[in-house]
Amino acid sequence: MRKPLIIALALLGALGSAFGQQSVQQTAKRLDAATAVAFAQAAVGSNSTATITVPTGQYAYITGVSMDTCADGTGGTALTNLNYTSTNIQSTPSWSVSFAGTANTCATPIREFYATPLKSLVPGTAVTVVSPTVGTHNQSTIRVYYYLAP
Amino acid sequence: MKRLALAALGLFLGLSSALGQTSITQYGSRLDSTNAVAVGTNFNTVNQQAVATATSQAGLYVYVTGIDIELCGDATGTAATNTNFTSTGISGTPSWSFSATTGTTAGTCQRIGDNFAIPLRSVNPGTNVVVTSPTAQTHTAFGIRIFYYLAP
Repeated sequence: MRKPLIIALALLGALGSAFGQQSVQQTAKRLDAATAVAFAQAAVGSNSTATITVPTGQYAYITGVSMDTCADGTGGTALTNLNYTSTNIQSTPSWSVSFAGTANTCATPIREFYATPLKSLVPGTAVTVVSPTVGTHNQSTIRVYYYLAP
Repeated sequence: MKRLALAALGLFLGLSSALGQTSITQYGSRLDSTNAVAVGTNFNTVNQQAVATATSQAGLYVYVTGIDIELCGDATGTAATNTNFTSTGISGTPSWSFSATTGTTAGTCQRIGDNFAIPLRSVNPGTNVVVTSPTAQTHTAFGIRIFYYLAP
């Protein structure tokens, strides 16, 4: 009589534990996951530069870029056909921004996330993404998601 | 005759059951799918700070597949100037910035955040990923969702 009771209690405990826990995906370590973010946010009125430092013999594999441009409480600095620029990526792509600069508003966010990562051009060379000249009352924020590999 | 009637009834029941069911894709379990969402505290509640925590386990990384951030004003709204949602547990500790006008009223929300095609792995195994809103703002409600899965 005692043994079935103990077994039942153990089973109940195990079930309770299973329900309370976050399930773990039974997959191998994902080797192409982004493992770091080059993040830059200069003060209002200053330009931001996000830099991926790349060790010798390695490339940066970029999985996404994401930029925000927001005005402060004064505003009034319009941005017209300006660009976020890049270095050490083939063809040095840019991302464009126009923004009225009205106080306490943001430009349309820039979001690019790649199904296959974007590999940097020259191994061992930093990759940078640089904001345009934001003007007195704007602030730019840059996030570049990446991992390093041969 | 009785056998025929029974067969017809069986066929009818089988067909009705098949028609009422959703078809199941004949595919294996997708092992890198998102299977958890960390929803921020005080979700969409004005005048409260929000914190979303993707809880890890020993030896496992948090693979973040998306971070959604929302801020909605009530009928009054409050201006926000160059304010940030911050993070921990991610290398580089990125932030997500926004500014909002006093015109942020009910029905006008801002949505920011990033959704990844390739997941973003936490900095260390066993370390939680946390996204925190700015401090409580009068007449503004925050919402955070971290989409993720745990794996080695």
